[in-house]
Amino acid sequence: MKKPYDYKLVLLTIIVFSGSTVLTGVTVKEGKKPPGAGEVQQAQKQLDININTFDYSDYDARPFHKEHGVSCELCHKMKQPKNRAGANSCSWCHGAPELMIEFTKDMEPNPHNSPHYGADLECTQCHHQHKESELFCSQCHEFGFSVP
Amino acid sequence: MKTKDESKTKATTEQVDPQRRSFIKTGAIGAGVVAMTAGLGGLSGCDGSEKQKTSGIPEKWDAEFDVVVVGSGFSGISAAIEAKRAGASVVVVEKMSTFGGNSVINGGYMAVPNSDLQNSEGIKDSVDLFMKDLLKAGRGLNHEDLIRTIAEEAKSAYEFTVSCGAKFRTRLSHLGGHSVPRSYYTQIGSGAGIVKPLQKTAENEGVKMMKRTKLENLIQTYDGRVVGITARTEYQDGNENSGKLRTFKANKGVVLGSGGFSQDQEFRSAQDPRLDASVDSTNQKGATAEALSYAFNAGAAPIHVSRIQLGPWACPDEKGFGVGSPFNIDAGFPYGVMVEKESGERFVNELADRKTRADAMLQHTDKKGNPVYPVIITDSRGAAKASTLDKALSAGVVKKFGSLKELTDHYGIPYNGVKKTLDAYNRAVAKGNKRDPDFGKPIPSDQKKISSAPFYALQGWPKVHHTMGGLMINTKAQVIQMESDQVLNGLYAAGEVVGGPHGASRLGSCAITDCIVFGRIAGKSAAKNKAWS
Repeated sequence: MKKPYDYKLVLLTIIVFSGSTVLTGVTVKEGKKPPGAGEVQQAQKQLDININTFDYSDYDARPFHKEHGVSCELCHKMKQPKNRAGANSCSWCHGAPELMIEFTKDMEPNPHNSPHYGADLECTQCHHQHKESELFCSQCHEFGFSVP
Repeated sequence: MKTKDESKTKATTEQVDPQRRSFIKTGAIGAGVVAMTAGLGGLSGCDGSEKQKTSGIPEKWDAEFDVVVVGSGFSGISAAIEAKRAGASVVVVEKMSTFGGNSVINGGYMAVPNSDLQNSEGIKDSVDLFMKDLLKAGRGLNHEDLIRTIAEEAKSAYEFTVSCGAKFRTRLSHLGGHSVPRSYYTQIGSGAGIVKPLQKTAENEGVKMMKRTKLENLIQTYDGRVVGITARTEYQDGNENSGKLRTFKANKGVVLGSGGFSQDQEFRSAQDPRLDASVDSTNQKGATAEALSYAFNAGAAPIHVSRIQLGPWACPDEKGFGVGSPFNIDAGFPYGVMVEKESGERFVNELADRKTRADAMLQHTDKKGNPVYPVIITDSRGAAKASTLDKALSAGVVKKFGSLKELTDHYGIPYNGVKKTLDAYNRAVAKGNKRDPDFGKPIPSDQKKISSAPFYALQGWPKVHHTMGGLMINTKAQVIQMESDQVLNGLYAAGEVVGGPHGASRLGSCAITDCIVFGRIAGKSAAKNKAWS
């Protein structure tokens, strides 16, 4: 394993959330089209962090989402959530799983592209918003990744 | 494990009047389920016609399919694809939050007798030779009609996986217990290389796939015909009250491809008391016995349920199969020795079959019954054979020692005992013996004396790997009833939930073949069954 985290896409989220102009495209309504990767990348330019050098290893995703003004509604589709956020919610800002595989392609092994699940593993198998994140692989392996 | 619900027994023995054909019974209903499946349980006092019409079977089903498949591993997905291709509407329910069950973490070896690759490599194989190997490993307990079906349909099953997109290496592997090389190995080195393409095929062909949907009950008519299931949708693993109970009508049949119970500590240790919490498993945590118990409650006959296979190559200092197991398979067992801590002496042929080794290892307990882990020792020449050496060392599973004395001090084994053991083994190596004289271990032809420092060692303790026992089926994958030798109409089963094909001990690389052969048969049989209405 190389450096612990190169969490570019996580940053993209913040970018998206930082710019309200972008967020309008993400207003969550049933059936509303989520933003494409292009829109997310455009949003990246509005951020003052260098996503290529920022070290994400010490960060927990939870405060990040909250601190950057992410509403409950964005993921849960309701102001006072009763249900789990849908499995695709993360992709609206972070891009499709295939994009995430590309972003962590230099990690060994690539946590987003396991031989067992490929791109099919839901983000929330590891990355939690309301409890400590965990490493799904740890059920059998000891890769030592820290999970934001 | 779900305990058997007493009310069901009561209902069937006290309340049922055989003349009332409209009377409906339910299988394995828990109180909570009863309350929620349209308020239908409570069979006691069921003497009025009003209740007869409604008991067990919901007035309105939440969903309706021709075939309902439980489980999304090799067996379930194969069944779903074949049922769909035969014209049935099909749903696959998977209780976990990921599809693929154990199959996605399976090792990826598939035994195929009479394969094209065998032909081109000039390897002579036959249905009979394959069966002979299985019967030997299974101590003769195997149901021969089932293994004949597996042997005869294996090639077709292999071609089915390839047509769905599975990719295999172009060399056959020769696994332990097989008379000839006959095992294909997936390119990615995991069963995921088969089950993922199958899953995509199923989805593309219109099979509805539902994860986080847990079987809670089989729904039967009074006649015993299985006509649907109750399932908990949006199930959160480990939270038995999560989600919602819904009924799925299965017009033609329910296929159980629900796997084994290696991770069901309660149920497995009831079958084999040695397999308590001190024994780990190589399986995913969803490998539990509830689907099996629902089928027993529905009247299915049990076969070989206490026959539970342990992997003798496992290491207690890591989880699951890990990196220690391949180290032992490649290096520790063939090129090293396994000794007991008390004396430093060997106690078993390190290359005997899985059952022989695991049973011998499990005997090493202290007075309180706690394990005293045997230690597997090899030297630098042996360790070089292990492809996972670096990973195993960095994980701290395998340890490296500058001298034998350092090694024995670390594990607290008498030095003289280990020295004596190695001297005896090395004498056999020096003489060029094919087998060691003490335990009959076949000495690899390229084995050198175990004497070249540094030495490598790890602790060993078997892990629960496969449950051979389960439901009785016939060669059409129809489940057979306990009370008679008749088919339990509407219920089909394939793969590890079935008992019989592997007898007392399963031979490596035969699980995939079994699952896909019988999964496909189960799907076809179910789709052919006369619809219930």
